Amino acid sequence: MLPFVVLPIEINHQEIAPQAKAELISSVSAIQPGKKFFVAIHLSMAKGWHSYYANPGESGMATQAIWETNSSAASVGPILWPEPHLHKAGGVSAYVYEDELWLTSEVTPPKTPSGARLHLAVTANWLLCKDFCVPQHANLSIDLPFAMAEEPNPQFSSARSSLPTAGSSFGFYAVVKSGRVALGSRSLPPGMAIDQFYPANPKFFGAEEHTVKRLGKGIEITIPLSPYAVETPSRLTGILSIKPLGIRKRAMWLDIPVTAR
Amino acid sequence: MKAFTTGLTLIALSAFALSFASPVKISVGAAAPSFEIKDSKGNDVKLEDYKGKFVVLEWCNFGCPFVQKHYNTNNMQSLQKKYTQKGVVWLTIFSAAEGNHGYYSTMKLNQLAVEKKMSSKLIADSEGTIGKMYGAKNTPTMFIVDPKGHIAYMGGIDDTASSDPEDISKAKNYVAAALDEGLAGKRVSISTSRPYGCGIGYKN
Repeated sequence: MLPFVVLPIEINHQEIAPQAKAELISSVSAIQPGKKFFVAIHLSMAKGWHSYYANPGESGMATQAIWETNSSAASVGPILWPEPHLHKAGGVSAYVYEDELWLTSEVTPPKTPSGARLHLAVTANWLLCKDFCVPQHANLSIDLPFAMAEEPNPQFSSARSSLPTAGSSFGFYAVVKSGRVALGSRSLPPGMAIDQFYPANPKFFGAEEHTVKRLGKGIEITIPLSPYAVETPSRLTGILSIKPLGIRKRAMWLDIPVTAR
Repeated sequence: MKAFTTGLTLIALSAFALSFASPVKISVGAAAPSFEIKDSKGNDVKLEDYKGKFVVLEWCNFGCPFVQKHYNTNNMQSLQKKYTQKGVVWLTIFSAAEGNHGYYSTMKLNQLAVEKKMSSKLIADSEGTIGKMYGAKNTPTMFIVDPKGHIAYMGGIDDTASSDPEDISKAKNYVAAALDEGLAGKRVSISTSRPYGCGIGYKN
């Protein structure tokens, strides 16, 4: 009997006919040992179809990525979700993505590589829906050589522009009170508009309608807890869509403690 | 005060159904909103008539992969059979509007009930009245009403939000656990969970 050997084969794109196409794209074409970079699952969805955010809302399923590498010293972080949008159909609300989607994760490569290349493989599972749903998956992989210095991949720019910015700036706070969480800031920079907040944890939130109150220089967004939440959150995570004065709209990842009022 | 709507009769038994614009708060321990409707065979189904029994409300759409996970493996039918044999009333409700995905005529429902070997009463709620009354958003969403008419459980069928049939054996089935506890006269220890599945195609 021949020994069974798994050879790392690069399969960096897959057609999931006919509704979606998946490919893997990296922010570098060569890795500098120990220097972090990004890798993204690019989903192209046919018109009318959508996939789901970390918190799918009242229906659907969050896309899941399970990573493997050929180096035990390498690691791939969680999905850095881009800004979704609210999808309403017949009274059912969901947080979704349509058309082109980049689900990016940060990769920490080994400081001292054991081979010439890093092999990254992912199993991506997503649910694609329009008026009905189809569970889909893709097995994708990419091989990247190590080099003295990182070589950026110019084709990564679309993925990079959909990344949320990090940070709990602008003095945001969150308080929980009788079935609702209030997310607020007492002093927003002048002219900054807040578009939407997309809570990321489905354990606590569906896609209930929020109320937004302007308080002088500040703002307070009231987010009802899901009727199925069994406890209150100790942290509020999610994407805040902001539009600073004179700058284009961007998504900000928020991860702040929740206090009781 | 009978209101006829596309072949099914629905009588608003209380203020719940009448105050449709501002739905009552659906929560564990609260009174389960009353409804009266005909099942797919034309028999009267009135929630109040089941006082003294546990009633399961199962929202269903056979075209949904999360529902298929439980029907293609016979998991849902086994639960229906096991608990209806113990005196539980099991109602399988289809709230999608005519023309939408997940809608079936009563004739089609009767045919599917035989094909799938179901032991529940099938209900075409194509106006979405019962679904909206209970705030059901996706399939499968499950409710258990206790013998006093209060909501004893609301949420998902189990703890594993996936469409993969292989997950059923590893999952904790909340509906079975709640029924076992309830039938044994015990308090339901897990009475709420997040339902997962496909959005219901309600009438817009």
